[in-house]
Amino acid sequence: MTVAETLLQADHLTRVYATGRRRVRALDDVSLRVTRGQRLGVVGESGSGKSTLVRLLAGLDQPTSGTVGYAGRPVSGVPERRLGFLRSSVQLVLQDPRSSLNPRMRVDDIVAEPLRSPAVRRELGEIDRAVRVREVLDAVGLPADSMRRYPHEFSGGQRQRIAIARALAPSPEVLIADEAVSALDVSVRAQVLNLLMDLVAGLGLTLVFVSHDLAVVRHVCPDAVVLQGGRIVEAGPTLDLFARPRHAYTARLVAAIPSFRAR
Amino acid sequence: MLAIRGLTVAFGRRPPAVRDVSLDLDAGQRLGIIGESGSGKTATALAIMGLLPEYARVTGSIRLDGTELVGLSDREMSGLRGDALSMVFQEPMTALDPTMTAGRQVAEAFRLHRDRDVGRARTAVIDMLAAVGFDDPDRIADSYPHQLSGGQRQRVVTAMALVNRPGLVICDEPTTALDVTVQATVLRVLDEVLDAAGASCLFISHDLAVVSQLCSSVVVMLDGEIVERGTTEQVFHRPQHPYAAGLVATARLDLLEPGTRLPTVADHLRGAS
Amino acid sequence: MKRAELWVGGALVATVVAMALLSFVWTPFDPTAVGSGTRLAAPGWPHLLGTDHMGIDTFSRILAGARSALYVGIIAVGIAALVGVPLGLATAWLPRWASEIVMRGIDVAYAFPALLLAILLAGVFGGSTETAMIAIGVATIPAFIRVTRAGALSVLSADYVLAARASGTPVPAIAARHVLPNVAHLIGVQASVSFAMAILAEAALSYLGLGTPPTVPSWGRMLGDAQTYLVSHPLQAVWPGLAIAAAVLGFNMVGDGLRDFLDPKLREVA
Repeated sequence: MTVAETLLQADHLTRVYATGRRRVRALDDVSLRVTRGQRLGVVGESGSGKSTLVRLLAGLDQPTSGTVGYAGRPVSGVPERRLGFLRSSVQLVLQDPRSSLNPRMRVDDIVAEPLRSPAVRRELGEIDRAVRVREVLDAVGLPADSMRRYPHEFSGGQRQRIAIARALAPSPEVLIADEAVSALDVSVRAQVLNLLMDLVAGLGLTLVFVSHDLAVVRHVCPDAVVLQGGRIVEAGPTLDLFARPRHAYTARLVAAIPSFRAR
Repeated sequence: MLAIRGLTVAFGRRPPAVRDVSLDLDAGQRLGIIGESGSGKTATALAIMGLLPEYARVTGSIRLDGTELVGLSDREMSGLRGDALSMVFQEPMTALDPTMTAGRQVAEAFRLHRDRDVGRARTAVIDMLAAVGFDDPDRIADSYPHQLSGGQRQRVVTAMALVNRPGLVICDEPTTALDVTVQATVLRVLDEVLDAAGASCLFISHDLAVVSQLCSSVVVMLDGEIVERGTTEQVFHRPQHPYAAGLVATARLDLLEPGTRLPTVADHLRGAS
Repeated sequence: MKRAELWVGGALVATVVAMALLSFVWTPFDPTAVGSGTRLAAPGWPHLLGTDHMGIDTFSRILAGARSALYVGIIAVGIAALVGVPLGLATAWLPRWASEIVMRGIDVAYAFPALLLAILLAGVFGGSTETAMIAIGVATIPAFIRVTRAGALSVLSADYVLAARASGTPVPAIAARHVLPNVAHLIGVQASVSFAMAILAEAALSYLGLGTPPTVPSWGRMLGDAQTYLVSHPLQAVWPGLAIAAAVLGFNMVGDGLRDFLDPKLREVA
């Protein structure tokens, strides 16, 4: 196969939020495609529309206009009960490991939750949940005795591992990581990034890596798009964006990365 | 001008959050305190400011221009806060009172410690707002916090901290909540006003690159203790303690081949033991 | 010190519950038998708190009165919670415009005093314990809707709900697994505060003769009866008054204590 298969596809996505009399165009005519096995970075600051894009790509919100497709099947406009194929294939890892885990659920219930979803069960058939939970906890490097414990008993880095284990449970093809390491301490960040990259490589996953941190995107993703004010202002190989930014905003972003300057 | 000896801070019955910390800061010097969550860096800052909760036990000595701060009453401490020493907090949203204009909040510190006169306070406020890089200080002064962007708010907070030209400014992760492009502006402004005021600065951050841009010397804290100290040059290029070495290595993404495994702090700690 | 509030409130509530339970198996005298003693006897022996105008032992009547208070409280709060919590959950999922309409309607209902509703119902169906309970319960529904909805909305904005939706977890499962467990403490606080209000409302209705019938011991009715002899025998009004105050205070303190105890903002700074 010479031409890479397109997995996730967004065409002319626009999302307008209406709050009272104000209308906010969170996303404005955004098109992108993610091929199987690709690691695509989405770079943007607050207000860039990256969270809106994540929700639309994951089929959790409807675009005002434009379409989202997954593996050639439409996602936008399709009722939830017919989105089973998407629910088992696209999983999220979110920013704040405190808010992304229900404080009143035990780790094994948290990680097993995707497997209890009727949509996922239809796609995957019946699987032994306990076995699968043990597998994915092992894959993210959490000890088996974590299962009966609650999220607050874990450190930030460990909680993010739990969130990754939950995302892996239904054996997805695509991981969408939304600022997945931004809330972590520097030393933990490196460990979680290593884990994420190992998993993506080992399981042959496709990764959409959303972040405000250009330096991290440069390290993780060969390709990237830059979002500003709801629009993609530049797209291309990440190293090119760094070395030869074509858009003024990209240039500003690159220049703003704090560099080491021993005085 | 600031001399800390054997500072220990403990909350309740838990092990001390800060253990036997000693620091010296000369006039006009900027010292970075690097550490991760739970390292005790914020507790150290709050101890200097006298802002720790009542149940915290503080021992040791903190001397500012020869005045012992440990053991001062809250009343005596408030006489110094905002005048001899001041603080820039992380969250510009919560550091400002949403019901007061930015100008009035900057003026409060000035009128409290310097001059009750409203007109002269206004002049000082406008000058200060101009100093933190606002082209239209009058409009900013009359704006409420919610009318300002995150970066503008953080510059207002900086103006509040510097309006009385304090000898010591403590910055606690002042740019962590900001976007990268905004962070660059705020750091530049901070650099300029600290220089102009000739103030010493304790700059607390988890971000090594940010610290390297502002500070001439650095200490690294781990579990409440200082494990590394030296000039920024020394610490970033020839770190001694394995934890500091790990932090530096893991932060230098710019030196790595994309897609390769990142060095972690654990690698260095393991290598050392 | 917030814990102390919880303890004191809990002790008061436990005392009321113990009095009610005790009255099932033992009271010093029959709390309903007219003429079992001297009328309006002063406190002493054998009538510890004296007797009322019909010669019934006041202490026995106070013990048995706890039963009515708790009975009304449990049923009224039960009605309010059983209707209000599911409705509150449901409105959290409504589209913005629809929930606005529902909430304005609830604001109106909320502004309508429970006591007035009870008096209306009593006027239509006749005064009885049942009408009182239903009226108090119905009038408390809006409070439960509001509390549940506010809590549910904040839980629904959490990332773990987003993650659950990304796996296709159906709405009822999200409600049961994520929302309910995380708003249960808010409902608990509301229940104890509403319980106190229900006890007070029952006493008021019985005092007015619209609640518990004369044959059943009730603190409110005792207060009403004692009013006639207030000048000559003030203590007969003091005892039921104290009982009402203790029960209401107890449940309110438990509610307040719970609220503060469960408030994550009270955690220490690291």
